[in-house]
Amino acid sequence: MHEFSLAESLLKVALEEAEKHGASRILRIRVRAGKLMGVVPELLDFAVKSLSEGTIAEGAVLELEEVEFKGHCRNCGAHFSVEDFWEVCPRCGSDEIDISGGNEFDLIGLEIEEGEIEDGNKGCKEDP
Amino acid sequence: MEIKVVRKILEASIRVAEANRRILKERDIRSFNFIGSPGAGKTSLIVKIIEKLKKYYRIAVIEGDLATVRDAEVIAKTNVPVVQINTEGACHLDANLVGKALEELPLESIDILFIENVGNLVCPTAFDLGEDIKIGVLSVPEGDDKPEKYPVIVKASKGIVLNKIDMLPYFKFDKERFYSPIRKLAPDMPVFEVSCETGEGIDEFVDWIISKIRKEEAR
Repeated sequence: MHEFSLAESLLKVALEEAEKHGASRILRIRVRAGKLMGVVPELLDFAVKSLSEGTIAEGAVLELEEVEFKGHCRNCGAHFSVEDFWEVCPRCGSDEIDISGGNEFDLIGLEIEEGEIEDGNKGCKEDP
Repeated sequence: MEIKVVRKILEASIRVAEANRRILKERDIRSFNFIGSPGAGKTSLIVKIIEKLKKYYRIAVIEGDLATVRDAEVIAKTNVPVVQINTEGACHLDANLVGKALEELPLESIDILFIENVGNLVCPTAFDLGEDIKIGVLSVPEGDDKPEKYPVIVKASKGIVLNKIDMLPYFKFDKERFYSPIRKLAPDMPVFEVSCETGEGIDEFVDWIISKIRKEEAR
């Protein structure tokens, strides 16, 4: 259950990016994760929900895109995506496959609301 | 409004890992990160290889545990410097914790650093500590299906230890079932069958560690 550690880093980066753009709320967080990160989507989702309470990311939807491994067949040289470690080459059926990648863990997008953070004083400002 | 961005989420952690790597490299220290289940025999294995190596190399150990200093106490009996990290519940070591532990070690007088990760076959593989080499420690009582069920540890490791081979007569352990996923994922993976109880296979493993120290290899 290392998802809490990952969620902590994820929120830190997401809040930094949101701040750069003057966000008042984060509505959606888009993340890309490689299979070597061992992320269980439900657990990451739960961790983000828990840790974002009281921040502008509270209630944000986490969109997790899982990145497949890259496969290369040592027998026929084909390149393809690999979902699972035990696949065989889709072209020649060989199981002699080099698997690479899987270390990705990136923030790839945010959907934000801009503007002043509502603090209950709306409308109290004097018109210029 | 949509913001497009590509940022490595673990960038801060990656930076610290790289800093650790630099610190170790500058002092010519070779580092090994031992990953395996609780009870696989990581501490016993480290004690065994310290006994063999300490005549020739200056060794230090970083011990990762959820709580307690038991393992550090076991290591301390070998008279090498040891720093205990208690993660207080976290299931893996990270570069920050290792960086802090490095500050407590006499780095100017160390040739080899052994890092014993928290007992866990999954989470530690996702975190770069700045080490040179990850070693997966598996054991006979855990079962012959572990490489197949935990391929990530095989993928992440440069060497695999199968510990407790003195227990083979007492367990249904099919070596073919153990080796075949390893061969498929990493055909050149060195696998060391050892017993910390009888000492069998330890010398071969120690020779491999020495070969890794002598041969600077790209990660």
